[in-house]
Amino acid sequence: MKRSKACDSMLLSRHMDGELSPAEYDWLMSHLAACPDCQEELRQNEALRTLYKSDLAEERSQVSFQGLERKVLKQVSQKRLSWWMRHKELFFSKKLLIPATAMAAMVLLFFSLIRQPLLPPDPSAIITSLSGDMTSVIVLETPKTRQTIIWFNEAS
Amino acid sequence: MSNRESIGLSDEGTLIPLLKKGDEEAFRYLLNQYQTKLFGIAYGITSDREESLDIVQDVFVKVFQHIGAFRGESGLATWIYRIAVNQSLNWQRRWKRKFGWRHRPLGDEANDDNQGLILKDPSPQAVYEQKELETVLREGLKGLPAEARVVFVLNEVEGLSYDEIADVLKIKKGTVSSRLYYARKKLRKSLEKYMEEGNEEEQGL
Amino acid sequence: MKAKRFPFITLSLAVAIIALSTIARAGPRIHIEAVTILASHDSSPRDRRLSGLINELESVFRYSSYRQISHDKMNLAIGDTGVVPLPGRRQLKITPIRVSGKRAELRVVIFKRGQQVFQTVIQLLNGGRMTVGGPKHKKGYLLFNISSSF
Repeated sequence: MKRSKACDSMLLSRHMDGELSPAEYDWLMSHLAACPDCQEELRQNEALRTLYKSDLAEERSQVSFQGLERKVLKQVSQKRLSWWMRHKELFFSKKLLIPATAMAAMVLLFFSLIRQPLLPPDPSAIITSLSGDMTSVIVLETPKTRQTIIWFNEAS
Repeated sequence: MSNRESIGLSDEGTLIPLLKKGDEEAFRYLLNQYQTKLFGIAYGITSDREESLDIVQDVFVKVFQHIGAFRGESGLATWIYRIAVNQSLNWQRRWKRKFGWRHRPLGDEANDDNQGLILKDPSPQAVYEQKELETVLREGLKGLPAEARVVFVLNEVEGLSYDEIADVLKIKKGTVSSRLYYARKKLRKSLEKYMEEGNEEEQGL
Repeated sequence: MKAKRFPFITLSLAVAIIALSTIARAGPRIHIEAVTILASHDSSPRDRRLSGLINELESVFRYSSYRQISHDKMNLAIGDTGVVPLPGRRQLKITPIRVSGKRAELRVVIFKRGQQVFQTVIQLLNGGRMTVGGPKHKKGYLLFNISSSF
């Protein structure tokens, strides 16, 4: 049986899934009314869907989902437990305790040091004399550590 | 459960934070919501009931382990379906590498219980024919490229829209449409003989 | 036996006293480090050797690149002069003058082609550092970061 050029299997497939625009839907409906080939293809697609769903329904009916649920919950609780057991061993092992204690001591030392004022009380350098063959000179201080900076432009 | 449901476990905004906290009731709710759907996806891809059950278990364990990293960039369902598809395809790849695909002979199928199947005509002949059709369909599905099979399964099992399928598989909507079209065409072809027979019978020929 | 030992002990003590008094007379030695840096607008990657210093310099200067040219260490007695060769036929000479409290007084002189172009006397904190900069070199400027400890 030769199909009309207007037949569009892709459109039929999308129609099955409710993915047509209103214009496409209207066109397809009028085409279907006059096209036995497309009617047959649509029927086969629908039969395919029914068959597949019935096969799946049968498979599902063979499965004990309560049993599956129990298995999953058991597995998950084991994972939960094993996570704690793993970490408990790690938390209380010497391998972790010694470095952790050392790290804690270092952190304490660090914070005790930074609690002291960050800024030195005085500028790093006091300039008592300055001279040279320069066109200009500027004395600066860095804001954080009060490092003294002397910037000069050499006479060319 | 009903109490929790009434306070909104069906709402992802409530469910996800509880899952992240490891709330057992929330996880139980998730299990009830998704286990049959995930089984459908796994079975559609693998055509193996026992393996599908294992896959569903693995998916839930993965969800439990990784829900903390779930950022909500896609919906929870999309994320879970994506895990299920990946797990099923991984199983299939492993299986093919090891043994090739396992085929179940028709005789075995005919011996299965079919209490759950409702037939218009429950006569032994009709049951047998239905089983045969399903077996042919399953074989047809196996014969599809994985990409087309996954799209077909997501569409038929869960009735996911093209947009949702595109989101799960991270492909374009147009690709979903063409893969579905291809899958249907191939499956119709594999069932051609039976379909035509059915049609003739219906028409009284 | 005891009589034999006595001169040896006496001699050792004498040597120790002389050595200690020599050190005491010599005064403290000043450890000085001079880091020469080329600051420019190059797109060269950060010089890791300067990681601590760059943050400090960037709070004052706006150069994109700071590259270490040399790092000289000197251990100088008061009155000694340490010489650091610099690019562009320049020299940096540092002379500790004295130590006063927590500061060392240093004379810092820059020579260019044998001519003195810059001279300063600074009192630098023990463990402190300061920077002298300005001479043009290639497409950037030279900076001399000087630190002292005693």
